[in-house]
Amino acid sequence: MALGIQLGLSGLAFGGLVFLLAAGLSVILGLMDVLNLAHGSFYMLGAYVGVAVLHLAGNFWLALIIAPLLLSLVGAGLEMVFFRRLYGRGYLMQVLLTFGFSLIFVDLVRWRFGPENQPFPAPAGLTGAIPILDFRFPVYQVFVIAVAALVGATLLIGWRRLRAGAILRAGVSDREMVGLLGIDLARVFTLTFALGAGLAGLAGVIAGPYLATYPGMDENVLILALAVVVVGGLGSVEGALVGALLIGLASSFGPFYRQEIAIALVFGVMAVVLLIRPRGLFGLRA
Amino acid sequence: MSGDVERDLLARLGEELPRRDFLKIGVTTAGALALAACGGSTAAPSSGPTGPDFKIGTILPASGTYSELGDSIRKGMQLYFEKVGSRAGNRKIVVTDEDESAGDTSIPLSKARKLVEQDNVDLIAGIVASPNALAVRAYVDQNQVPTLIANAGANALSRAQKSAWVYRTSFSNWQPSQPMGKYLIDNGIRRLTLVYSNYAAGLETATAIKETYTGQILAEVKPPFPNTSGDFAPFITQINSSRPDAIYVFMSGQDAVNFLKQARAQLDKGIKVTGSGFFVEQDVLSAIGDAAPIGAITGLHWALTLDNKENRDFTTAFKRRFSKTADVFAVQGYDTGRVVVDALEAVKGSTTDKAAFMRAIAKISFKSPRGDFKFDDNSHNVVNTIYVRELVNDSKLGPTNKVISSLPNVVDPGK
Repeated sequence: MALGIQLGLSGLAFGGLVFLLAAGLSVILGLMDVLNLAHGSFYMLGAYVGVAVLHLAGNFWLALIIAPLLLSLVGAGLEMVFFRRLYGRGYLMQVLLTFGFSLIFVDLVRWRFGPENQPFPAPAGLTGAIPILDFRFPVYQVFVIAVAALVGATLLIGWRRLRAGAILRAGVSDREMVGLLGIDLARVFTLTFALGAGLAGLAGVIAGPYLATYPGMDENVLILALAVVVVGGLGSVEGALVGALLIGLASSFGPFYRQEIAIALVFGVMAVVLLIRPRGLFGLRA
Repeated sequence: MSGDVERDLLARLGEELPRRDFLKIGVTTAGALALAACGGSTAAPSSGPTGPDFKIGTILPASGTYSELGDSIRKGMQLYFEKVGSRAGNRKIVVTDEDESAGDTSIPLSKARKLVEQDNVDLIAGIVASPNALAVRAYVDQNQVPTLIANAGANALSRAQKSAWVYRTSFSNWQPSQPMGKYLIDNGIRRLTLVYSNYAAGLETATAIKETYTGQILAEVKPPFPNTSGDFAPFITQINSSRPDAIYVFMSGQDAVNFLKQARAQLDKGIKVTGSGFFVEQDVLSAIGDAAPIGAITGLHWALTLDNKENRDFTTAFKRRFSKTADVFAVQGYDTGRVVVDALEAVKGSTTDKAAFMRAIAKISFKSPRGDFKFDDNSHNVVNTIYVRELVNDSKLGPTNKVISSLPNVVDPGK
């Protein structure tokens, strides 16, 4: 029982991290129809901005603010200069360009920081463990869960209640119609990209003290985030949230009980969802 | 031939250009030719190598999880070649690097093919991951390509899959752990929990320590390899609830970083940390900062602070050349470089008889930064001294492994 609770909490923390990535990926894919394989790079770059800020200022909380802002700018810049040209161009072109960017970013990081794991200490106060039932659970993972929950709630409220959310939801179901209503789609796209990149950057800083920071740290998380998008459905914040929880729990219980099939289990969840609901759990369209 | 072409070209230019310009072009061309001739003669001084280039193909990870290990090995090898001016046995040493891209064994295998069949290399060196080494081994064995394994620790390379064409300059997975079992018992560790990444190298480590550890093994905690979620919390709970005197750990790279970061918060304070030294090597220590498990007792075939002249020279030169602290992988690369150079000298640069070249490799011995270096005839594996190291907080170097005991002459059983 206690072990089950602990695995559940661990799954929540990891799922929370994946959610921060998947939310942006899902909305960008749903709204702009762009499969952005460089989305993981925003996560990695966020972590390295964190490393740089820690190195210069020695303050984790500062990194937590600077990295998402900086990555938003990077995301907006890339959208305006490059990705904008991809709209309506088919997935092959998109995959070529965005995958190319992910390779460039990983090489830039390796060139500037080297191939090694970077030190990324947790801030004072988040380094210990708290007793729950008969085990001790790392405080930092509680922090990860809290941040993901906070961001998730904010996004959900914005998505459901705010005008911006309504525009995005409308855009996912019918882009042309939203354009005809006189809404500046180009600006919506740029801002959405900035938001997605900023969230990925935030996830990168959060991952720093918890997972290892190295060139290529984005690969595994990006694949899981893609699985989350498939499970949750394109262009849906609720979908990203529920999908990330499912994938997070599968990645925490799987390796513990059935290591041989742990990876298959994660993608098994995806396959089952696809069989039952081909659009994903909350998808508006296939 | 080329003279004809030039004359022809100049003549044709002469038809189209005014005479003065023609002369100008003629003069500059002649000057350039004269310069090229001079350059040609200075590029081949009479004291230089006379034989053809000796080509080495390295297969080492340049991307992915193991890229840092690959980087260290490559730099170690480079440092030794630079030390001898990249020549040995009257031949110039030329290195071609290929990316091992750990993960799928078909990639390193195709890299080996490319190096041998397209680049005509005389020797293959490197290989970090054991499955890759075993895949390449089959190819080089069949095609009789002299090969030096500079990391991959699979016991099989010294046992069932040993080859006349493959020698290992690094270690077998058995070596660091087999003598540590007895050491732990002698030092009062009666109740032990094993913690290892659940793949071949981890299992071989567990088997090795059980050969000499006579105390009680309470549990075997086996996180997956690689642990993609990066989450070790449930496994650390498993360790805590087995209530051991100590844990014996085998992990490396990102897994070691993640495990130690989380263990710092969560592992019960009374549990002593021991293990096969890779999980507290320089690459991990520099990444975990103050999460270093100070007091950890580990066995490995080298330590940064190992006190001998070769090691002092090596660590200083490495730091100066690459602005990076040396690690055990750099030593393995450095020694691999030296084996190549010494063997080339021994055969006086003649490697057409490849079997004789391999015999020369087998006989190499020298003073290495890790102590005396020699191969064991039976296992084709290096004979290592396993140093028992204690992780201390050095006032200058930060967390550093200090040698507290040495267990000499650890030879893989070879079967």
